[in-house]
Amino acid sequence: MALNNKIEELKKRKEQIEKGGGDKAIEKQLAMGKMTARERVDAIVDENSFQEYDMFVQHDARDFDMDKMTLHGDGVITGTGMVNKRPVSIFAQDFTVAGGSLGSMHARKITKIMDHALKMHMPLIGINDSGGARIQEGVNSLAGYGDIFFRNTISSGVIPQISVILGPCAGGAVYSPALTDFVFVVDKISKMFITGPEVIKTVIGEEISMEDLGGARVHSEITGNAHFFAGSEAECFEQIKKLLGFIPWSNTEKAQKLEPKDPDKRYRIDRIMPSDPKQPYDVRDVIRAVVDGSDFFEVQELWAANAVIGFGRIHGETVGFVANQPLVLAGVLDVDSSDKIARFIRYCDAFNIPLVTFVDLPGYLPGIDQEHAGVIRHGAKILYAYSEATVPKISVILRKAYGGGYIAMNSRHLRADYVFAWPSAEIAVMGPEGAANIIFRKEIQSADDPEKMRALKVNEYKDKFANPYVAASRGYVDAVIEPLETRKLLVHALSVSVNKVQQIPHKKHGIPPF
Amino acid sequence: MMTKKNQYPATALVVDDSTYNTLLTEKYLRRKKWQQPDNRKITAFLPGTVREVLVKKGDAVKAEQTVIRFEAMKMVNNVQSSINGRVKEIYVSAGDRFSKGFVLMELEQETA
Repeated sequence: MALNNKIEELKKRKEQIEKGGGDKAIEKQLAMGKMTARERVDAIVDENSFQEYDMFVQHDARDFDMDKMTLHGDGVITGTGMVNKRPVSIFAQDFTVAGGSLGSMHARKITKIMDHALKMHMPLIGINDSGGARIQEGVNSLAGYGDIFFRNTISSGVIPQISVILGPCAGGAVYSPALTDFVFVVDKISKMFITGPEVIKTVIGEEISMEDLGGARVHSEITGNAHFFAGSEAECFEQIKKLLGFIPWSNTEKAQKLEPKDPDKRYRIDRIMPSDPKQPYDVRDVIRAVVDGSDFFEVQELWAANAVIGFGRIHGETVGFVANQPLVLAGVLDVDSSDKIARFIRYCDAFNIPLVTFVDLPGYLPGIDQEHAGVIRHGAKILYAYSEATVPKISVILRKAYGGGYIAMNSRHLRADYVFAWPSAEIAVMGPEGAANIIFRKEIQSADDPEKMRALKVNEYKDKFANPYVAASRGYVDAVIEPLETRKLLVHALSVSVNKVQQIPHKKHGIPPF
Repeated sequence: MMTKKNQYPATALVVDDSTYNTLLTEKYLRRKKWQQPDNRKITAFLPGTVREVLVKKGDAVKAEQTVIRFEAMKMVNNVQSSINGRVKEIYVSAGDRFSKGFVLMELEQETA
């Protein structure tokens, strides 16, 4: 056969494989409002930059008539491509081929691209759209999952790992996304659960729809398993690209520096916060008032909204922001917000992203449910994460910093590099009302007019302690600053921290309060 | 755009005697109220099917005595009384299916 004919044959073979599960299956995929695996990959990478590998891989299952079945690409597309001219590794499960089910060769393709991403120090993007284990392949399918989970864990903190849930992702399969850094979900399309509605109905007798059990909204608002929620696949891919713009390609690099930009002048930092510490405001406006172009990219916006985390740039450099949100639950720390903050700190620390923390919280959320849910253990994660982090750590205390919350939110005591406080800061062991009720209990009780006495004592306490100067007199606060100076000081603090060296004792690893 | 002041909520949260004007989350509002556990009630810790009821109404039972056997999650579970007492009421019989948290049996504390 002449070479030309052989090339023709190659083209034919590729064409066949590129059809995935065939026209009918593709039609079904599109009817569900979903894109095909190939369309998804193309939508993420720069035009014509995708190179596929292992296209001709075939499964080797023999039982249950599997030997008579050809599964194109074994139900997954793997390869490398460019995102904004920077290399990424991608795999995309193809639901049109045997429901994207994971067999041993399918898994081997995924682990091969994972190994490649780790070796080449580039991000891994995994698009999940699969009915789960390929039952016909039995324990080999489980082995495949195990091999993926192992690599997710080993790569964690070395290269960024992004999971995109664009279809079902159920049973053991959910643990791969759970082990990765960021999980993207799309409304009405993503479904994640350990046991599905049918099993729950049989075993527990409770009826629930897939959407209510593990839809995109549930994981974005209630469980916190997802980090980014999108209304469509196209929006989701834009979010992925935006995230990639903020983060470095591996733990040995720093994030790309861009041209510095001034914040939008509409965000007047001195006019956002009400002076009454009991009145709310949106702390994200404070962040927007200090970041380049007022472009703040929030992570887990809908979950545990009493804390805010996300990325922004200061003078061109990527910064991870952590803030209490007085607008929601008064900005208290609780089980969920502690988990949210702690994991984000560890992410930023692993990838050399400096941390800026805005503090305004009354303390921890009181409640039996919180105590019984282990708020002690969860709250401890924040202390652990800040203490352990060696990236530049800067705090700005805006208003309330009471009690344990003050210590936890990147205080000097956890080795913050810079602690700034606005003149409105109240750094104290607790709020004036609570403190006065304890310290002056006798005076209040024995007074002719206890309420009048209480108000008097609360004011007395406020005057003396509800300010930044007591903490500043001890050197716990480095500088008391005007709100309008905030960005200038952040730029200064970050630029004098570029050569920060901080050693922690050598250890195999710590034992964080997971 | 900057959040407008008049979009702010009127709900309140009390922390350390101070009342804060803030939004409450769905999850917070839906949190479960705590209930004092009552060891006179024998409650299903899993959903399942009753295999065998080993006592009758009025029987005396001892702490750690198996009173019901039920099948759940592909296992037969022995349910024991945690008190010395007497069977006040039985709500299930062999073959009945029940959900998690269902009260299977009520005991009366033995008055010494």
